[in-house]
Amino acid sequence: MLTRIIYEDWHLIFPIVALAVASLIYIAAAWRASRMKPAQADRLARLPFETE
Amino acid sequence: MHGHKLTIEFNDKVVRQFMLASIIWGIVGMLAGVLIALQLNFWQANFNTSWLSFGRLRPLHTNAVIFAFVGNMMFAGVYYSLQRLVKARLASDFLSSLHFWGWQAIIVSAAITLPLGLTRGKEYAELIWPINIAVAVIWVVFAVNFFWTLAKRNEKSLYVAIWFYIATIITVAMLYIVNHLSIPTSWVHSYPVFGGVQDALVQWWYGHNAVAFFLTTPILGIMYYFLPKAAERPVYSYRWSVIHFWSLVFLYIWAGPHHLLNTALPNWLQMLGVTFSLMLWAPSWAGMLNGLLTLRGSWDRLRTDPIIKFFAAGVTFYGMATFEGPLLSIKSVNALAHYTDWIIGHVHAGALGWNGFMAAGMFYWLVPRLWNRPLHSQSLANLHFWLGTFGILLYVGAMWASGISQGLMLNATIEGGTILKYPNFIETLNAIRPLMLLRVVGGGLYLAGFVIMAWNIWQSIRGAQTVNGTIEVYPEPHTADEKLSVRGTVFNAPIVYTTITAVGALLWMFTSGWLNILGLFGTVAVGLMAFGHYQTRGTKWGEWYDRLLMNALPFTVLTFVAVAAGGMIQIIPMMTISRHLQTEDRVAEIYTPLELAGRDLYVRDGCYNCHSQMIRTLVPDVMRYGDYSRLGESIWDHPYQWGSKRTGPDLARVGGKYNHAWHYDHLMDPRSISTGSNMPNYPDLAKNETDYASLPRKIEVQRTLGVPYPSWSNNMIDTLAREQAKEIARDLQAQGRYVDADREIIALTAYLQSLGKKSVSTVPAK
Repeated sequence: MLTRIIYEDWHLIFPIVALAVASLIYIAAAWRASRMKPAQADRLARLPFETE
Repeated sequence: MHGHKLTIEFNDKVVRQFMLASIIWGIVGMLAGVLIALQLNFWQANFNTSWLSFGRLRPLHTNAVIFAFVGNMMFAGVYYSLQRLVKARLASDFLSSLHFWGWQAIIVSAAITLPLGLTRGKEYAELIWPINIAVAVIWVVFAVNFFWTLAKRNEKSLYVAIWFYIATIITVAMLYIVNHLSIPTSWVHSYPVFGGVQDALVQWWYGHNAVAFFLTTPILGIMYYFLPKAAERPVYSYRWSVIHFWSLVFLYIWAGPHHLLNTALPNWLQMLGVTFSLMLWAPSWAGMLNGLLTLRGSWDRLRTDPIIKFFAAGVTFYGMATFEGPLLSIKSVNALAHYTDWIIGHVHAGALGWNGFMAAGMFYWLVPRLWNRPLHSQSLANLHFWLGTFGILLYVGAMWASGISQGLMLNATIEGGTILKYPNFIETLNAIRPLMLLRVVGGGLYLAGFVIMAWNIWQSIRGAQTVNGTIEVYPEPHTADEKLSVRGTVFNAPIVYTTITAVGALLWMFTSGWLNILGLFGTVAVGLMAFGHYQTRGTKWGEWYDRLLMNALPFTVLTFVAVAAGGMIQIIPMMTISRHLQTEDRVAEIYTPLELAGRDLYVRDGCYNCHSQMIRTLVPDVMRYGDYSRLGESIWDHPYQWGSKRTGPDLARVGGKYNHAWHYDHLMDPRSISTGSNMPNYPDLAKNETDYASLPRKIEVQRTLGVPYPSWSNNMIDTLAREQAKEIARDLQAQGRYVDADREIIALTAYLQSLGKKSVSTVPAK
């Protein structure tokens, strides 16, 4: 994948760290959101109406 | 325990100000758009003046629409919804006012400097460095006001719209600062610190994400607030909205390289852009469906309520544009569509349909609430909707037909693929002329609808009493359980397990020997431990996440990590490599002082708006323009000038193709050379003197940026420039064109003649 890039030293590791961190946070956040309790989701969804 | 009752009056004055500013600048920006569309059909509409020429007005149009129209609309929507969602008045009236007037001053500065040709030469990043600093300062003012309000809030939970606003604030700041890093050569000119392929990558990381985080995420936040309010029912699925947010934040930031497909950009970056663009399909459509399904049970109001009409159509256009974006990111589709009007049609489906219609729906909804008077005319609002819709469809349809037609013609070959069917570029331009005219009609209709809205709103608010919303709250302090300190944000099971797993995986992938084995077993072991821990203490994991959603700062930090990650992956490898080695088989030579002066004129007059300097790795491109462009050929270009649109042909190898007299005639009157050309005349180039005096400082800055200029003295630079200019002037004179050697047209000719001629092979001779 990185054949057209000539690396100097250890910088290669940055993209992979970024990819790993991004993927793990995303998976955790999306998974957690999908398991949100119905009551909590309902309460949050009604926030725009609480000022009326 | 409840605290004492508090009545809060919202700062709706600043909302009204931003809303009215958005309408005024919207008209200006769209008027500029219609004018430049007209210029493409009738070259006379350039009025033979440099400051009203297409190359200078097109940046004015794009900047006005993005930063003035949508920017002001966004600030109005953010400030209105933020105060109500957090049940608190904006933290500072002074900062609110400073934000409003500062932003307007920036817009006025842009409107003055762009027609004067003061530009950085990068799309949507044209404004000169002092204005860049002002934008950064005012953006910080916005951020402080926003986060300070969050800190004072009386509602613990952060509604998903606020998440979108947070992502907007931090990501735009990051993108804007990185892409505008420059070294000044004077008060009105600078060179970007990045050059060539690095500049191209950073530019489209910024450019694409300006669309994502300036034109999309804040408007999605606005959608998640105003659409439920207008439909009088909560968002269809709050869970979807959360997943929509995280998906966009993690995916969008990676997709920038899809603007550089089939170019000299390294292929791994192109493929990264394609992959993430395709992945964007899912969350974008989830968001669209979430918006449309919020209208369930209210569809009957589509017949009568213009606000619902605008919102429903706006969200539908969001879906259409976000379907088209990934489609255009497929390499083979892009080979046809890139550099053509198809891309322009795609952008306008988003800008006019999504941004413009969401703005209109929000304005119509806000007017009775901010001025305490019903809308002057529902019928006029309905007329606005139909004029706008018809205008967009005409515009987008014309641009699709135009882009596909021209793309097919440019790529068409005969004789078994050995000869271009339409070798003369002008043939393809003439074929799409009726469609270019239809675009003017479509844009004109849309503008007419917008002006009707402005008049309707003016009639509604004229003489009306302004009104600020109020709310009664019982402030409750955050309990210790709800607060999340820095320590609590970082040192908790989900983060610790994630970090250790990531480190283990890296050891496994990038080391050898015992470290490699340790990495492999460590990753598996920690993964199993995390699973076991979650099974037994899962509620703790959930509690951490729930607390995160009530604590703006940790949430913001993690969102920043997410968006920064995508940028790091693409940009760091490109920044840390040696530019000398990344040249493929050719490396550029430096421009002579006169060529550099000419290049700055090329940038000043916005030639990049119509001409690319990038011959793609595609057979029709190579047949038409010459050998494909190598990385090394533009490696010293600050700013890069690869371009994104070919209203005229590519210029990467135009040097030496024609003689000096050809260029002189073509710049003075393009139609004398190329019958039917829509390029403006540039008579001023033969009148204005070349700015030799600024060259030493410019070359000094180029040297600072790593361009290998020798240590010339100021006299040497001046002499070199003047000698080369005299040579070109003598040559022109021999061909019957009399012009002084110190005129700008000489410098620009020198630059054009250097294109494609300024590189040497790095392949050793056999």
